[in-house]
Amino acid sequence: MLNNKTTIFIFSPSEIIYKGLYVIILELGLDAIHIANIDEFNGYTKTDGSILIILPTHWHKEFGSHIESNLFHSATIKFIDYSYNLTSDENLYIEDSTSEIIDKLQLKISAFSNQTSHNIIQELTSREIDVLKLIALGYTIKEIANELFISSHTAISHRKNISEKTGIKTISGLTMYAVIKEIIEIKDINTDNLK
Amino acid sequence: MSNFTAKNKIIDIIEHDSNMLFVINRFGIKLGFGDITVQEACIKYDVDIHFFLAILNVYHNDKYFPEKKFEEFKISDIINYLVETHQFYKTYIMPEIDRLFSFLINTNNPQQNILKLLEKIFINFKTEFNEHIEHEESIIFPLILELTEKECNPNHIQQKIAELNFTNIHSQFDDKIIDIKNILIKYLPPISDTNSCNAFAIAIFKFEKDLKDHSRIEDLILYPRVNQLFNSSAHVEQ
Repeated sequence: MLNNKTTIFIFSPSEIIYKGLYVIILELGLDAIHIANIDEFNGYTKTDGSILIILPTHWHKEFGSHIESNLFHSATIKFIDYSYNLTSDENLYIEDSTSEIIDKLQLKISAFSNQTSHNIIQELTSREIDVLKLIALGYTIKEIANELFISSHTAISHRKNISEKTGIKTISGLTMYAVIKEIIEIKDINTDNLK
Repeated sequence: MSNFTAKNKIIDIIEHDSNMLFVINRFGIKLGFGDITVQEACIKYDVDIHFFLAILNVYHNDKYFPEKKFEEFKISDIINYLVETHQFYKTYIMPEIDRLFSFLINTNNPQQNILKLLEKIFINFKTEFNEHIEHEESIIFPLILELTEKECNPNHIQQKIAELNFTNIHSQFDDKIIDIKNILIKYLPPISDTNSCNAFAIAIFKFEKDLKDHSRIEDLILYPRVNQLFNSSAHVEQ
């Protein structure tokens, strides 16, 4: 299973190598960003999540630690080198076939999802449903905590989990969600609160 | 994905990503491009080419955000671009979403109650958003422009600046649009008129992307620049 949250950068002064790799990466259903020289990279420092960097071996040696320690602060980085004269199981070699390149890229990319094995269960727990119901009825965090005999801290953490699972952050969005999922009825909500 | 450069033809950029048409228009460069390149267009329309390319590439490539480059641009250019973007929301995006929404609601379908709730959220969003835009254009932007003038007395407007909270004002708007989009795409039970629903979803997508870009420019570039400017001029004053 491919992790399509991975951002791929191709560091390459060679347009031919960039274009060739780009076509293969598109076949994988992913996209890649071309960096023709190290300075261009300064425009991308806000990138977070999983980053795969494809680069010539000598650039990896020269800039690898700089890229890792200075440029990105909130990302997990993996490198894959390409080489004109050295073949290996891990690195890309100029004479590799498409399928060899795809296998090597997939191996690296799948290593990201092993590291961050996210909770893929999106169902809300019964406690979260209780909290959601009260949010939809217009209760504040403090009122929810009182009503359910939990601390405010716990109530906030439930609210955070609900947003993560549903992808919905605002109170009116969560209210809509509760109505659609029949957790509450339209007649019970104060529609004046929907903002 | 490569960044656009001065040598690219405007027509090729638009062929590549048709949403760029809206962005290019905001610089006064209108349809009928012929084979003009970015460089030629910027000379013809008197646009700062570095600013133009930065805006284009940031819009086109959501991972790209050259903060250092933005520090060199004129604040008045940034504000002009933002005002043009506001115009686009007011005169095109919002009316378009309204039109598609009412079309969706007026088709006879079983989800009407839910759609009406969603409409209510959107109407409230629109009111708040319009107020926010008005506030920026009538109070905040003129104040910022005043601050960039050499003869300005920072103490004079210190009070006003202090009253304005510049940090991440926009993320709340982004969140609301993202919620509307997610409800529409992930959770709303299927609606019989698929085409109307798709057209509405695409309009929301377009707005979400544009708004995200707009917010990044305001929150990460304009307001930090203003704070910097204010701090440095206040420092000189002492």
